[in-house]
Amino acid sequence: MFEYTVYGLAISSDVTLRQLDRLESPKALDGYPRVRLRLKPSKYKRIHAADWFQSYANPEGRPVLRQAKVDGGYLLNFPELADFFVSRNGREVTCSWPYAHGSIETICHLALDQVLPCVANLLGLLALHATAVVTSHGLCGFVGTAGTGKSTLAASFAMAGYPTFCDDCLVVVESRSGLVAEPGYPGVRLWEDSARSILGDRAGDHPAIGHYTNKRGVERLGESKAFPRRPTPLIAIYIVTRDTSKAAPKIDELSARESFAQLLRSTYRLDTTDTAMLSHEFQALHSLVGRVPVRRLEIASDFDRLPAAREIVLADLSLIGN
Amino acid sequence: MSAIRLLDQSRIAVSPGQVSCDLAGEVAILNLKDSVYYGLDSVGASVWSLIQQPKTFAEIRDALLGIYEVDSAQLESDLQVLLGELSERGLIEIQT
Repeated sequence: MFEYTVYGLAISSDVTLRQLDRLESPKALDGYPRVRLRLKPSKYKRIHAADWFQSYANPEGRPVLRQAKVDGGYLLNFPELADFFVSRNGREVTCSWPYAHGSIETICHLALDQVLPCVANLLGLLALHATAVVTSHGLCGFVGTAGTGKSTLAASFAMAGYPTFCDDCLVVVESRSGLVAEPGYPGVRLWEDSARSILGDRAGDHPAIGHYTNKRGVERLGESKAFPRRPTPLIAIYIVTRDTSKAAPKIDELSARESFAQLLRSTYRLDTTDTAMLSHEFQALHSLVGRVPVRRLEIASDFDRLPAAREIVLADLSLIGN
Repeated sequence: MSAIRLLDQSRIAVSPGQVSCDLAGEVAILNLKDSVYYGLDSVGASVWSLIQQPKTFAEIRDALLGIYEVDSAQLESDLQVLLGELSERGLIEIQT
């Protein structure tokens, strides 16, 4: 059995999750909700019922993730890739992949980057679609729709010595010392052009995260030794938007209402019909907006502008930190 | 616009099937019946705050006239619209 912590969960897995550091002492799991993860190939292909209560499609309109309530829990179907069953209490996650395309690498990526964030939500944690980096002023998160450049920006920070805290799943929890974020892992997923802009010729050293995408998993960039393995206070969140002009990056204040609305659109939700969860999430977001500054960060599409984006964020964080 | 015409003595209270929070003088509301979120500006937030305890239409109108400098006919008309919309969305309960 392999044991890990990620996103505020204690994971016991029967396969290695290479992105995570294996825990040497089971004591490190104390205080975290335990989740048993079973990933196994299968010769049986599930015949799916059509009662999906939620479905996500790619830009071409093809479903990439469908969710249904089934006896005892939830079914998360990645068409032609894998089925994950999540027990109603969130403590058991089982994946079977009868599809020819599925590789263990792809399945581990889906488990880690897609399914466990939903499990965190099911277990009552606030999980945001956000990437976060550790700076000398503190931890900051980047929220934004797909393609705005959150991961590229994080990779750019990593290359400048500021480690990635998580990529596209930022779990924020209330602790005795205030609001803190639970670590993900020090890696980002980059499209090929982003990987090339950050890594140059070394981009090819990093494999695609799955056969179905050109995105590359890039781990432990730059000074990964500084990756914090413990919950870390979150000092700011930036809503990242793309500016199509070549203008310099800029940061604007957001009203509490706009901050709340932006973050509301950026949460992982396993079951949108679960009113207790929605109510809990609502209160958690209210608490977050009241205690952590939320700003809009406008950045150009141009990779050459990344250093300027880093500088403006660091300058802003230095003011917040003080 | 709502077809409901509220009378001075109509009694208005927030519905139990929602949660709300204050956002620096504005309000966000989650309707738990259909999982839809709503936002109210600062004036709407004043109304929302007033009806946390049941009040009559006249009590709400008079309280708002004490908070805002506004034409009373304008206020009454806007209040009819707002409360009608909140009622249509199941966020408040009205006893006529």
